[in-house]
Amino acid sequence: MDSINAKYVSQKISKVRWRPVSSAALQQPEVFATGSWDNEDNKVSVWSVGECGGAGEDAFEGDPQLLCELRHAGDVLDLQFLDQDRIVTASSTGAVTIFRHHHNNQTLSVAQRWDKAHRYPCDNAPCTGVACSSPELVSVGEDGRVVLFRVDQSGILRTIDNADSSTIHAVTFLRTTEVLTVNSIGQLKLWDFRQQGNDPAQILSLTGDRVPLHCVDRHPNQQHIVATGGQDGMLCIWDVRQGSMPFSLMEAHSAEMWEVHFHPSNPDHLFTCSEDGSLLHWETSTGSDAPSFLQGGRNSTIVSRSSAAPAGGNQSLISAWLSGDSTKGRLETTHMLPSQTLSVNSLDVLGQCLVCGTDGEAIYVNSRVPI
Amino acid sequence: MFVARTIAADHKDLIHDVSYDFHGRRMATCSSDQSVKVWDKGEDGQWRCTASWKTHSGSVWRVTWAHPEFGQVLASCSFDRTAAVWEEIVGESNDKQRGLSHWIKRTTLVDSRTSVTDVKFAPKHMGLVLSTCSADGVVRIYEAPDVMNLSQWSLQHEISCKISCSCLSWNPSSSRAHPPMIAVGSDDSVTYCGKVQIYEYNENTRKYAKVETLMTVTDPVHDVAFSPNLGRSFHVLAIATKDVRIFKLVPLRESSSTSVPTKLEVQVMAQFDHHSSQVWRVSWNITSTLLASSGDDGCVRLWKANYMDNWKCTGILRGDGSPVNGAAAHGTVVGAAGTAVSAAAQQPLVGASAGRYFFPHLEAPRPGSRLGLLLPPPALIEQTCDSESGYTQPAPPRRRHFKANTATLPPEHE
Amino acid sequence: MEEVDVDPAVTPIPGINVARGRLGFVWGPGDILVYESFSPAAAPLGGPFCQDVYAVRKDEDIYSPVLRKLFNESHHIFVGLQKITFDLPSKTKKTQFVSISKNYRSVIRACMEEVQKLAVSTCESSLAAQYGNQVSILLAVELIWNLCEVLFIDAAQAGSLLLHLLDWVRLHKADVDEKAREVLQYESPANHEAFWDVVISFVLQGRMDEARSVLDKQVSQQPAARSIFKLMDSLLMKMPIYNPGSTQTLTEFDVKWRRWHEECNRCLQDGSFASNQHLLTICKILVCDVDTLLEHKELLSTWYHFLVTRLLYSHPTVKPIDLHYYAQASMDMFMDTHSAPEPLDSILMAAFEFDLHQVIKDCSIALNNWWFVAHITDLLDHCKLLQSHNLHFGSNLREFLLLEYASGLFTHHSLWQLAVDYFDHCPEFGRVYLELQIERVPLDTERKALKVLRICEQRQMTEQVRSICKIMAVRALRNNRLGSGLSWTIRAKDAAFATLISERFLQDYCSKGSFSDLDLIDNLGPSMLLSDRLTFLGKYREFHRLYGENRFSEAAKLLLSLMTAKIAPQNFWMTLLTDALPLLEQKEVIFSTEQTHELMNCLEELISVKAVENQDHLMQDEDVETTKLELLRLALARNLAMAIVKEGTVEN
Repeated sequence: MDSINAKYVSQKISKVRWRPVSSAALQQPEVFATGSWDNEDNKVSVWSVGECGGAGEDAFEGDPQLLCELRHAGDVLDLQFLDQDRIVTASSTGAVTIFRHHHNNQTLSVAQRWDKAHRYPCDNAPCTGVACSSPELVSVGEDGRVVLFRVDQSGILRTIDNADSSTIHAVTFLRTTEVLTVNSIGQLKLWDFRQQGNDPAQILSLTGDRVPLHCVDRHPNQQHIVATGGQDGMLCIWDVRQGSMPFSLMEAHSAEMWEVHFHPSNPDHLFTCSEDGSLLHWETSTGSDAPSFLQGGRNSTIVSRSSAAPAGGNQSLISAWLSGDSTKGRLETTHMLPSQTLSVNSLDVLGQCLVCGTDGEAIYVNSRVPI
Repeated sequence: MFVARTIAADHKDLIHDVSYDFHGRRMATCSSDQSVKVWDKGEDGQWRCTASWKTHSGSVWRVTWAHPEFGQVLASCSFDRTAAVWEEIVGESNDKQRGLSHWIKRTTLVDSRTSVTDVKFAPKHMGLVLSTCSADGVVRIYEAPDVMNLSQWSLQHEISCKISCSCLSWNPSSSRAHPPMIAVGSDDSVTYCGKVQIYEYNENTRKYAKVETLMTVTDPVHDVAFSPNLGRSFHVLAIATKDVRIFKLVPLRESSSTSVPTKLEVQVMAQFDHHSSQVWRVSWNITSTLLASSGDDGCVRLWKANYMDNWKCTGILRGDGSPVNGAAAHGTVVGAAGTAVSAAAQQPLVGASAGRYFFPHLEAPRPGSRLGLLLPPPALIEQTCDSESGYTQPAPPRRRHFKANTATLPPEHE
Repeated sequence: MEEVDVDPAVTPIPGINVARGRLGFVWGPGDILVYESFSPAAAPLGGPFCQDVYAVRKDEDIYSPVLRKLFNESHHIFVGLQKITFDLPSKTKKTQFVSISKNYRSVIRACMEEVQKLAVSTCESSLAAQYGNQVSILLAVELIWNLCEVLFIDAAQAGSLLLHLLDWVRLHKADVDEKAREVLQYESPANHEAFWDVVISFVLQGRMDEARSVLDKQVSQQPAARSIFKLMDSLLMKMPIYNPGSTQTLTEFDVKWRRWHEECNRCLQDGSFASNQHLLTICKILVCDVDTLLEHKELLSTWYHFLVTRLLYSHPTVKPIDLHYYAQASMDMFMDTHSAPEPLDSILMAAFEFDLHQVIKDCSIALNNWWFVAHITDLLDHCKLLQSHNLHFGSNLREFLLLEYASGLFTHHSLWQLAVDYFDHCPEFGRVYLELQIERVPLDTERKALKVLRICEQRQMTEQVRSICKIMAVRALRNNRLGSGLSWTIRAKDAAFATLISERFLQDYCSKGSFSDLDLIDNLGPSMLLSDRLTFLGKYREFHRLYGENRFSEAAKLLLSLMTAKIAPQNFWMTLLTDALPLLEQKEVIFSTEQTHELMNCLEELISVKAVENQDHLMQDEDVETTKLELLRLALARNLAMAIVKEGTVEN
């Protein structure tokens, strides 16, 4: 395993995101943004890693350099790149802000802000998640609201009040008009904006213990497959089309799972990070004879427990993730961080580059992820 | 120590008490102008006044917060012989949108015949319990049985101390195994007797009974404070009287039954007369490692015990009497490097940095002193980064690689 | 053991006249608030009083962004150190401890470099001065740590001791290389004014090879004196250097060294270098002529450099226990007699005397922040060095310092998370301190509350878990988020509060006619059993669901059981009976005879209870009540009749 750099940045990192690279170019991502939390002055910062992925380089060159930063009111609870120049953040003050990154003079400025997107009758409610599908934005918060915005329009397009009686932790777009939210009573709710009314189109949940779900990510190619991470560190894979129960449950971490990401171009790979200080790289392979030995790190083969038999039909059409039978497919996990750290709050992966931020005020960049 | 921030309180008269809430994000101040102000600390660390209202018809002596398990609740006591309980309500008015909040009076406690000198909430495991003491020598303990309805308080106990009371303190020992204990101090200057009394609740008689009077404290007592219990088997009580005294109260249980009240063995841990005047306040910090005392000499002194239990003064705060520069006074914020931007500080703050121990600033470097070695030669400061540190070794990249464990320091001889 | 009595520092509070009044104060999480307050003595003075409240803070270091990196990185190393197992052979352990010590030191140096960069780039002179100050302190700290590593952790023995000390001095006197570079880059190095300084500095540090290569430049300048330069070169080359890895014993090395030393002496005595004053100086240095050494005070610049040079050229096989004699003597010789030793000097001297305890004590006094003493004491404790010095409070000292450091961290709005690990490794008081302070962490967002709860749950701090969940529940209730409130209450396992929230739900239902937060109540699961009222709420909602799904007989059974099993509170029975009406008025008979009898019983019970209540006061809507009761009686009677008929009918 390649050695991984740690950069100490004097702020607890709550979110990291790579700036998207244009799909035409084959280059590795170079720029990422971070948001901090639990500081008296929180910041949104933009960093550059320069060269990534060259052969035989001293990894010291991959040291992130700060390009610019700007003060952020409240903790950064979520951060997404809207496009190459704009970053959206969700704040603990209930505000949703769009920052613009000016490349020429390397500065950040506030382009737009919706101040009280999430609120209680007489207090601010933290906005916990934001998702973008340009030009629309969706935000969710502790007040159980789902809010729809349009970039460049100062008003709010639509609010679903009381979408949830408990806190909504994360949101992601399934299609351009459909979003999926996860909440603190362990439910996934599908919202269709074409429908009027304040009810979800569909509700999925685990039976039994209502374990809060903290993160959700959609499979990049197959929109009906969704992965969620829960408070007990369980990784669940769901098929939104069928059934209201997850397809497989895997014990991933020993504490809350904060983020789950499918690799955008190679969805056989999944990454999760957790409060217990570990970052796992999941790799599924179907039909291969020999296990792929990943160098270094700690290897463990996790048995995946399936709660439902895979739907019949053409095996090749079913994603490897849904094959619950562990003899047919193989699931390998690798710990990506060398030693136990404080909570890993966030991760992002693009191409061969992985970046994550921790409560130990460190950012780790790995530019040679084996995928 | 240094002044990190200045808050313009804007009371129209002297402030008598300031109280932080449990989490340290809200603050209440009360004053002789009969009002109470509530302040909230924003995400940026700035304090903003979110409520200000008239509470009593006399000077308000003390204000205190209840534990947040009971909601946002304040209690105040005043010269007008009453104590009051206030609760912050939400909902109807639009004030919160403008950043203001609404406090309403839930109850007025009018049992005292004289000025109520202190009001304190009991430890939270006892429920929502409030105690007051007044100059008529009675300590009253009230309870609100229904935490959702704070207008119902019942007087549970009246403890007659026989001499006028000035202060009281609950033992914060939060285990339910210890019966509640309260210390009462008196500022009576006429009678000759012990001025600190300790009462404990007896489960059998369902009453508070006196377990100890500190006979060695015969001068008027202005403040008492139990220290938070840190797993110790004994209690520590600080007293503000003509000097600062710290007592150790060791419980001696004669039998294992709870019917016999605890006997306490009283030992003096420390006594300080550095103030050389009446000490009017003592208070422990949250971890009970530091005690602060304030006296009529205009100073606040900080006391600390080392690991051998020897106490000494570790700091003094004293008004320096210089007039405040109005413009600079408000909202001064600490710079990123921790620079103290204090209005009056022209010279480096004494004691703020330990540099003075190593490097006496006013002396010229001389051979044999470290100044020559450790301060980079002035000429180098102008140069660019590379040569700044005066080290030729590059920054050890090792610390960023987790593989190698040895530093890239000059080759060590085996 | 006497305490050094240092006068407490006085912090001035502007705007408050010390003669005027008392200073009121209150402790806060990270600071102490101070304000002017009433003083009966000062009352007659009159005049304007200070209207401001001042927040006074103790430790500015934890608020410095650069030092934060130090705290974070060293926390990582600290946690790693605690996890080292102790069943390793002592040789391996020692290497591990040494490498950990080096880790710490490189963290200090990295931090120092960053502060240095800041000091250079800032324009404000006061800020630059402060950064410069911090750099100096960090330099001193690293110097002391390095010496402690050499003497205590590595515990170098005679022979290698001197080598380590040489490294130590070289590391902290690196301006020699600067000068050397400057000289060598000069077009004619031999004519550079600092040329001989450079050579002598190298010799003073025992860097013979570098000295020789620089000296070589001079040879070409003075071809006539080539022979003496060659002689010096050979002397420098021949100096024996102890190699611990080799088979040569210390005694053998000592013999060799003495022979070399005698040769140098001979060269000096027979005036070989008389013609060149500089080479003569160098030769005098080689024979350790103290006066010559003292002439070069400026090149040496510190007494400990002087000490090490002396040892190099007079006693390279010095034993650790003899070190302090030389140290004391060197310091006396080097320093002016009328200047008092500074704190750094006494600390280093204490280290040379192997008085660990004194070192720690002096550092605690001299430094603002507990970081250094806490970490180094912890490391020394792991090396089992504190015990061996017979300090009965050895482990208590470590714990005391760690607790001090961690408590300081806890007051910081962000670094409190680091402090948790430190408390974990303080066996006696760590847990109590943590319990006390973790409750006070402000819970602004749910995410932060979850992190704090995770910390508490991992350590089985059930009371703190309950308290935090309760606070979140109360806050949710305040914001009218009943669902969230119930969620938190269930996690807090607080039955009383669960009852309260259920009551609110039921009240809401009565006033609005429908349930809010259905998805929560529908999914209570086993946590329904937390409180009776909660169970009722869940079951009642289930009744409505069954009714909605037209599963009438099940709904009926459930409804009845709610009353007979006494799950429903009495005041709700009227509502339940009213809910039964539509079931009674269905065409089909839903309630059996038995069930109808029970319903009637319930009705009678309710009426009698109400009668008791009504004795005292008149009910306003008595008419409505009576009508409802009549309707119920009628419906029940009719149902009973139909039920009897149905049950009595024999199916054909």
